[in-house]
Amino acid sequence: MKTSIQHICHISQQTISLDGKMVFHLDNQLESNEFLNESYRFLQIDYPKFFKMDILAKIAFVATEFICKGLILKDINKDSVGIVLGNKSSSLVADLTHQRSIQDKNAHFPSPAVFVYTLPNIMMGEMSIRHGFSNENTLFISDKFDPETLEKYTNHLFKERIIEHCIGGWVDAHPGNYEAFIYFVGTGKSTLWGEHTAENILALKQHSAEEITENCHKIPFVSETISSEY
Amino acid sequence: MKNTYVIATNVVSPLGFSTEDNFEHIQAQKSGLSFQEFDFTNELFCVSKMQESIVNQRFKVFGDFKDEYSKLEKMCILSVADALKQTTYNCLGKDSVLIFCSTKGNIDLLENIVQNQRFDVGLLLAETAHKIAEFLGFENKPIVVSNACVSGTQGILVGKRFIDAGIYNNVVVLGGDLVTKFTVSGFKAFNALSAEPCQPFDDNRKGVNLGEGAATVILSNKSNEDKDQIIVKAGFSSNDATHISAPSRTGQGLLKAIQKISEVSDLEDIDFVSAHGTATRYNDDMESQALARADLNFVPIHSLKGYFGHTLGAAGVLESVMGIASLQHNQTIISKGFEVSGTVQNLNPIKSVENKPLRSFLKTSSGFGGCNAAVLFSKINL
Repeated sequence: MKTSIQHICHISQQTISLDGKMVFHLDNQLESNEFLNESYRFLQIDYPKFFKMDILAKIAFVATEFICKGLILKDINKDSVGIVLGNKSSSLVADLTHQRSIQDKNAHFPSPAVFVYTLPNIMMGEMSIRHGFSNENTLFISDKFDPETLEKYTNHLFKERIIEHCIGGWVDAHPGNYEAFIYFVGTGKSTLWGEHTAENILALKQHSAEEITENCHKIPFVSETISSEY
Repeated sequence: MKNTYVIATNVVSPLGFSTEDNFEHIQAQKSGLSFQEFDFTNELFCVSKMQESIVNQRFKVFGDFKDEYSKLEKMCILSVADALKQTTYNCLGKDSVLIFCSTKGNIDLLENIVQNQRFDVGLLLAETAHKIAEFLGFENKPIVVSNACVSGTQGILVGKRFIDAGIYNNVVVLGGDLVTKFTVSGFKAFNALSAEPCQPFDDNRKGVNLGEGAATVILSNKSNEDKDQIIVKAGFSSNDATHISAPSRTGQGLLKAIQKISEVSDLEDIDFVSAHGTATRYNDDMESQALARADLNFVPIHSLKGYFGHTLGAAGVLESVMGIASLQHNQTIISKGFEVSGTVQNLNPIKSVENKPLRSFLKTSSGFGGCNAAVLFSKINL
């Protein structure tokens, strides 16, 4: 079965690119959390739960939101959308927050609202809740981006007709840095981004990272507002 | 599609270092649960924790290693090494892979990292998996699956799919997690912990006990030729898409995973369900709803949390191994801690060890993030 990459969203260096276009960028250096909050505001959606999320879930949420804005979601069976992601640092940022709340036995104040985010797959739960995706979630952890495992596993899910669409990619956050490279996979040909193969995924990620590095300092630009299909 | 055979298993827990040891002990109604201290409070916690000195003692069979390997890594290496011994197939070569399933790995290192403000790569799950795989001699890079408390069951599912897809011939699925101050304080903050040994499905249940362990299932596209075989017949996972920290009240995600199995395999004849059964009010009610909606609530059921505690990312592998042992011994396992029915839909928890022919069981897991997975194990005669 032919599977293809239909949309891509890449977030790094305070820049968000969607399908090769820079759609959001902030010049002044912000904390990761502040940048993500600003990008949420740019999306003009009403989803206050966003502010409860940790960095990892926020970045996955924002990238998925940009991708889903480009999709005609009513034509997609939500039950047929799988999520297969890669990550390196697990939930390190939330883990550190929880650890600091228990580090000193005389000042022990763990919070369930923090603890729940000490699992990296929570980001996929947040994506599922937001968009109603109720198929499989799998999170692979690796020391670096591993498109081979993502491709092989995802394509098997397509072949066995377990899923009809998939949100794939890499979402990682550690103190001081973050990156999301998220793509939407479907069946059939895509003239835009080509086949869903490990080589292509890797090339697309590298290319879009280079574009972000090249362009992120040249802007400020005024981005057109993206139309919503909701 | 070719079969995926279970060719070897192991469990490392406070109850023993082999599948047989563990099975024997739980059939004698022994439990790994005990009351342990943690340094942040005077309160004792009922957990299933391994004594480090015993793990170190066991690890000496590999030589004299001092601090090169963490407690978790030692438990994992012992588990996989014992399973590898049970098969004549080479499961370390280019056609084989190790899948490490864990929620938090060496999370106990984080305290020192925060204290010294210096990062330690031992914290990274990929690094832990790499150390384990390298020690055991795997040629391929290991794969890590981290899907909360579904990790182990999801890992078995991923392993089966790699074999179905012809990507690997043998997949060694390893689950491992520790009981740490990190997880104990977090579950405590959720008010999810029971101060006493847990009572899954019981009316009086008050929450979960945490546990630690390592467990291994080796899957292969070839059978061990000598005896009745157990295969991973089918499995699916599904997200509730409702809440990140509470299960769906209607058991929607778990039901979906089970229904997808029933579309490809008959579930009417299964002998038992090895449930998640954490003994929290919400989880056990959710499971009763999902099973009732799937017409499986009268099937005999057990939760093993009363023997092993909740071993988090290892639970799916560990509990599958005990379910497999139950099939192999044709002997039911009691759902420890259950006395009085107390779930929204009535369930049928197993109350006695019975010797009778057992042919198949359904393993289910559910976890934070709304994830659910179900896998059907079945015996076939060669």
